[in-house]
Amino acid sequence: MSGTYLAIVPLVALFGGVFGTYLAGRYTRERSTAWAGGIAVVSLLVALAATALLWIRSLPIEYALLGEGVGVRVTALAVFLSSISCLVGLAATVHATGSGDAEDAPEVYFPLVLAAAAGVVGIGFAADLFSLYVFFEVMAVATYALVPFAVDRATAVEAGIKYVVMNAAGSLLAIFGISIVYAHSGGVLDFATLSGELATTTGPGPLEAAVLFLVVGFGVKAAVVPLHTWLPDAYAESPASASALLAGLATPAAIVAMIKALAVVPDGVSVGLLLLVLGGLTMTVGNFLALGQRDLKRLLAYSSIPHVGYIVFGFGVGFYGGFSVAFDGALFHVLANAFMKGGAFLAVGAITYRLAEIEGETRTLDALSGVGYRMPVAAGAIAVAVLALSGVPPLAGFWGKLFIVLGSAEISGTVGVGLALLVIGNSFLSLGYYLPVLGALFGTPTDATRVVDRTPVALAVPILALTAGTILLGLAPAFGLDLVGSAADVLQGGLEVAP
Amino acid sequence: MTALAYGAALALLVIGLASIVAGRNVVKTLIGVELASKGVLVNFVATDPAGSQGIVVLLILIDAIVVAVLLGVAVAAYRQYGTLDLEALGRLTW
Repeated sequence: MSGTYLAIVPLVALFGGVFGTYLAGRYTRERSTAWAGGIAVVSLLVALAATALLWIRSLPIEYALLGEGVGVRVTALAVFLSSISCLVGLAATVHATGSGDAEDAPEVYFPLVLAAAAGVVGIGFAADLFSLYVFFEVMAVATYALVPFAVDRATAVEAGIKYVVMNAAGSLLAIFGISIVYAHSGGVLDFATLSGELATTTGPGPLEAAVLFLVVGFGVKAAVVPLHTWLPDAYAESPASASALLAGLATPAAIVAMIKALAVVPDGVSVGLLLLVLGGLTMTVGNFLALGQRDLKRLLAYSSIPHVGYIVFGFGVGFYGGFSVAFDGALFHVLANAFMKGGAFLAVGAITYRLAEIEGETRTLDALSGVGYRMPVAAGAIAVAVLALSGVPPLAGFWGKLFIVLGSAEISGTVGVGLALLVIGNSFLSLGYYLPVLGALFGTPTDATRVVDRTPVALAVPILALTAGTILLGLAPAFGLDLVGSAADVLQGGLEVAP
Repeated sequence: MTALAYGAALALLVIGLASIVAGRNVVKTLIGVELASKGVLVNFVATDPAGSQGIVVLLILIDAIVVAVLLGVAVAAYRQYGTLDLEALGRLTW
């Protein structure tokens, strides 16, 4: 354990980028999107490089900000979240530079994207429960402004207000839960000692209340059923790159934040069972909600809910029986989800960008029919993402689900088999709405899709990168499992730091 | 004394949340958010008046930012719909 400046480079780079992109967007000639986007890309690359350097050091690394109190602690989990955050952030930034997402106000859009990424990085780096909340809130507030970014579109504003009100209330519940933990542990919030401290306290009463507050509070942002009602509107109405950021990064990161907060709770409190039930409910309800959606972006938004379910379910199984394979599966699905959902939303953005030139905003499956022949990159990316999301074997989505199924099968008796079948059944159910997407993309072309332009290069690059990630992660899961495994061990170990 | 403070914190939280859930007007929702967050502050201060200073200051800062963003969205909604009534906006339900 050594104090090193490298530990805060990712956060400093991203927060520096927030100011840099603001200045570049505000004061360059004609408020240039390219300059602001370029600076955002540079700061994300610096953060990514620093993360890679941290990974090859011996972890954990601690660094005290402002003298003693608040600090950052770099664990494998921090490296994991930081890498995902930088990768999805890069893709979203490049996409936003190429499409018109940031056109109206680049001096606001790019800082918000970077702040959201920095918040997620911070969730991983946070050394105590309170800084976890602060970084969670940085991420949340940035996305509050990204959802209603098109302020002159009434539906976007409506989605935004719904999102902000629900999530502000959720955050309050989360911090109230943290304040209960604070009271219960007698003023200790540092992860290094918190789980040991809580294990020695008598009476789980207040702690059970705190767990409920934490699950419900972070659960709003994580879109756990029945707290998911903001999600379809928010994802469908925000700009394409912001949707990718929300679906690929913010929502899974909220789950990880929840789990990181719950990891310190001693065994006496049945966190696992609670998450198991919520996860099962979320994936089943989410899949049924997604069935029959005709708007492609809304369909993808709804299909994010079952994936939240798989992840929460995986963690629930892990907590319930202490199965490390379930932790691995859940975290692997967070990683895979970033590539699959990020790629899919960016590709939908590219298609609507081109179609809007011909016949205005329309994303229904009928209107998109046959778009695959003129825009093979975007439609192919959606096809790969959709297959991966439903868990078709050689793609990224398969492995996470496999590990979650294996984990739940380890629970003894018929319960374990039933839980495993629940996940598998849900995967098949999801084909019910993913296959019509494939059918539509390569169906009979309409008048508009027959003349639509090809995918612009600036948009094709991030889409292809994320799609490549989906395929590579599927073919060589060991590539991601290295990091995922160590990160899962950190969570499973209650975030304790060996003295 | 501490028990009283915890009770007050819980009461503030419940009143705030009730106002968020029941309030039809965006401004009432905003007041609810503020009340509930003050409940959280009381909870921290009651536990450790000296040690929680940094936490409380940061939380007040975060509250201010959240309220600013919420007000911004509310203004945007007012410009689009000409009302602050959440039910008139459409499907804002729990």
